Amino acid sequence: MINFEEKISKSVRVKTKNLDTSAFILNLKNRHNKELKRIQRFKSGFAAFSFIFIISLVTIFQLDNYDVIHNDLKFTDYNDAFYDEYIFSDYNDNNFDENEFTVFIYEESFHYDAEELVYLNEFFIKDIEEEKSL
Amino acid sequence: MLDDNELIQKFQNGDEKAFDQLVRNNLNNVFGFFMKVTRDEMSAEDLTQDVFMKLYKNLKNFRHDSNFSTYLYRINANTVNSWITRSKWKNLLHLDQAPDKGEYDIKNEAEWTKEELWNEISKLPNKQRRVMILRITDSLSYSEISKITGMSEGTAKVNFHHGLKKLKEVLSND
Repeated sequence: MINFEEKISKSVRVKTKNLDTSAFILNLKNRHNKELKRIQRFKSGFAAFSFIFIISLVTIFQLDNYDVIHNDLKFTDYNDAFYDEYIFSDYNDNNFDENEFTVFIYEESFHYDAEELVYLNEFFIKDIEEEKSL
Repeated sequence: MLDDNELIQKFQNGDEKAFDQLVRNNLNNVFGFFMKVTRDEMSAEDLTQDVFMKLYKNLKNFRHDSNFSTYLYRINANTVNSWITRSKWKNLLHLDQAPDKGEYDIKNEAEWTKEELWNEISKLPNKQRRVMILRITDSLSYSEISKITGMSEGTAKVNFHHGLKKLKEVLSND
C-alpha cells in the first residue's frame, strides 16, 4: 500500500514556473475593485427599486381610497341649482349666502370626507334656520 | 524581513503593502499546490487568485489562533475541493469524448493515469477526498492534516487509508 501511495504522490508532481508576482498583485487589485463596483451597483439598483416599489404602493393605496371617498358623496343629495348658481351664473352679492358658500368651499377641498361635509351642510342649514327664526 | 504573522498584523492595522508582501511570500507555494491538482496553468492561476481574494477579504478577522500556513492550507483545501466537485460534473459531460487508451503512446500514458487519478479522487467521499489531496500533493503529516481539516489524527489516517484502498482497487483494475 505504501508503494501505491508513493506512486500516486510521484504521479502528481509537476514542474511549475514561478508566477510574475507584480502582475499577479495588479490583477488581484483590479479584480477586487471590479467586485466592489459590482456590489455598489447592486446596492444602488436595489435601493432605487425599493424606493420605486414603496412609492408605487403608497400611490396605489391612495388611488384605492379615492373611490371610497368620492363614492359616498352623493351629489343628488344636494340641490344642483346650488352649484349652478355659483359656477355658471353671475350671482348677485345680495343672494350670496355665506354659510352655503362655506360648505361649498369645504366640499371643494379634499380634506373632508363625505360624512363630514354632509354634517357641515346640515349644521349650517340648521344654523341659518335658527338665525332666521330669531 | 517580517514573517507572515507580523505582515498580517500590519495589514490589519491598515498597511496594504504588507498584504502585497504576504502574497509574494506565498504565491508560488499556492500556485504549485493547485498545479498538482489541476495540471493546467490557467485553472491553477484562477484558483490562486480566488485564494488571495478570500485572504484579502477575511484576513482582517484573522485571530492568530492558528498558524497562518494552517489557515492558508485550509483555504487551499476548500477551494480545490470545490473545483474538483465542479470538474466532476464537467467530466461526466465529456465522458463520450474521452479517447481510447490504445491511441495513447507511452509518453502520454502518465497524463492519462493522472487524469484517471483525479477523476477517481473526485468520486471519493468528502472527508476522504480532503485528506487525500493534502497528503498526496504536499505530503503533509497526519498532525498537520488534522489541524487543517479539524479531524482528529486517527480519523485522518482512517479516511486516508480507506480512500487509498478505493483508489487502488479502481486504478489497478484499469
